[in-house]
Amino acid sequence: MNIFKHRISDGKGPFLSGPLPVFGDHKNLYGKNRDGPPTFHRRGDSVAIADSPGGTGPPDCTGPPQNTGVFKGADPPEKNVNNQHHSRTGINNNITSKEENKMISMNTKRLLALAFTSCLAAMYSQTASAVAGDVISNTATMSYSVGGVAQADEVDSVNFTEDRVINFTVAEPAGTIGTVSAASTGTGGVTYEVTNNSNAVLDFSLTVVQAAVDNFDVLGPFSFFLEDGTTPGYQATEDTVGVTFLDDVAIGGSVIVHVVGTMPAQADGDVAIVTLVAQAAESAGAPGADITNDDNGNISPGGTASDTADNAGAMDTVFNDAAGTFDSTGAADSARNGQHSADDSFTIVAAQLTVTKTSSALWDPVNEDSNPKSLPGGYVQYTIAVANNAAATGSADLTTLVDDLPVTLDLDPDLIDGVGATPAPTNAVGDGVRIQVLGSTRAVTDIFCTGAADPDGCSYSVGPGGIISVDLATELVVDAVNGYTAGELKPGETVNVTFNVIVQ
Amino acid sequence: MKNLKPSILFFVSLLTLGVFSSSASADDEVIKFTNVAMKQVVKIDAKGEKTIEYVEPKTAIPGDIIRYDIGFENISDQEVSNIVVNNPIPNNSKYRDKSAEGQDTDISFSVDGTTFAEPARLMLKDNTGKTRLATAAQYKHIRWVYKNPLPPGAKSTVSFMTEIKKPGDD
Repeated sequence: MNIFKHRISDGKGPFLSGPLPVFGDHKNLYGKNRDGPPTFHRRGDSVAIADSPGGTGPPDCTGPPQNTGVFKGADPPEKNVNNQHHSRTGINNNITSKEENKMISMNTKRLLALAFTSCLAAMYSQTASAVAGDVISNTATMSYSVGGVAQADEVDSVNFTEDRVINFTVAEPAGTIGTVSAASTGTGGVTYEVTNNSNAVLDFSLTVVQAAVDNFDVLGPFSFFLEDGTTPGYQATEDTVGVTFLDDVAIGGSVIVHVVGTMPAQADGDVAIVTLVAQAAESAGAPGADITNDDNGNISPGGTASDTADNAGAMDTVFNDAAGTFDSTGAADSARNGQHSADDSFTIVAAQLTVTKTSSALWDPVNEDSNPKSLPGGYVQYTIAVANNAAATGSADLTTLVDDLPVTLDLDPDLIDGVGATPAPTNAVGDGVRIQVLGSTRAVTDIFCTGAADPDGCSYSVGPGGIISVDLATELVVDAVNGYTAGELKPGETVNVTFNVIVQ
Repeated sequence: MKNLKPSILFFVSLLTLGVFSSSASADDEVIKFTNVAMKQVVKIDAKGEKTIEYVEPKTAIPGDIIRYDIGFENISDQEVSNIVVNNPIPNNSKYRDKSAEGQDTDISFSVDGTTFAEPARLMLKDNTGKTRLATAAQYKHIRWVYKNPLPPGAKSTVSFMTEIKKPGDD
């Protein structure tokens, strides 16, 4: 504690004749100047209205305080003096000698003291947010009279340093909560948000831990992508790749990071849990050194405990992070260890396809359409059904379906309907293959194509024993309106490929 | 020199004789003025009972509650009057509503250091020009007007509390 004392003024000189040096609106507050007793506003008086703090400029504190020798009579009181504070207030640089001080009237001194205090307050009030290492300074000023004579103000300050609290979170950001679907052997990215709630800018080093309680481990090494904000969510071609740590995360700031890995060959529905662990690190350096201990005996995994004597005049570090899921060693992530973590998961989504081939005699030259048999010259209709189980979690992206006919069969180029003595083409002459999608919301679900060698997606090598090829990625076109990609067969849907063969 | 007591005259005589250095002259002091910061520590014992202690702010982090005690003692043999204590809210801090105390004082606040009023009448124009009642967190200054003279040997204390701003506070 610092004690600050002042002498009694002799009460002579201009100090007596002038009005009360104002620190604030004394006239409004008291109604009288300091020659009379103070009176306080009573209810019913006009209210006091101030402009928005941002609207009224602070006192001009840009220049050095003049004649701050006002403090020479009793040195400016300080506790745990910090040089930074001195440089901010300019106290030291402006102390005048005692002789000079004597030449300053007490009235002037009071005004200067008040101006200094106002300046100090205005400077500090401009500090928008608390930052570790700041000196928090409180200055009280007391005015009084003795024998009706106003005396020099008493001014006393108390200082202490704001310590650094390490407090941050790793979490799934809103909109990305839940498992991420990934194709077997494909890549996928889970998304986390790292938020720095500390009162200091920090770097964060990143570690991915994979739990042993799931179905499989994602194949490493993982890549970290920073969300660039163009399109929310992970886009391999858009977000910033090549990040190995989070650099200079601002106070109160947050960063979205995608953790990207490759799936092994896994079955539909298999789950891999992935934990992102962030470790607090110094902002200086790229990356900054991990902060593996605070000054209260708390450590990160692998850190060395340090419980230094707390010092009100210096910046201490205090871990204040909450418990997460796993720490960087895979053990439970405890509170106040300089690390925080959260889980996310990949779930393999895959189609469950079945392929069924059926045939039936359609027409023969003897019986025609009445109980036909597979006689030479007769027609047999084949249907290949590709079904994606309704219970599947993923669509199938169908490509090419191929059927290799035996030499005893040849493709019916017109896909006759088998009706009557002279059957007609089901659709049109030359349309030898029919593709129908069942259970689908596609705009087009009934398609014909030719067996000719053309770009329509269907082909047949001419002559008995040929090969029928149907490119379903071409036939089942993109249907963005209804949510289909090319060749996509959603769970519960079936595609039937129908053609006729002529028995040789 | 009408307000000076005999001891001061004696001091001046000694000073003339060069017995004391000028910096040692202190026996005509009137007020012992102190300003102390203490951090609030809430402890909960095994029974779940809460106690509040105040300790030196050796460790001070955002969210901590700090109490400032400003003491003044009349160490002269003359009555002191017209006592006004003025205290800007310290940097990195926001005032805790209703925390300012001071026996026999009228307490007023200001958002700009110029206009002081009691909380119920302290208005603030916002950025749109609308007049609103200032919130405690917007107070920038506190003023205590001590209503009585302070006799020789008497002392009193005023106090207030702040919270160290957290990230995201204005």
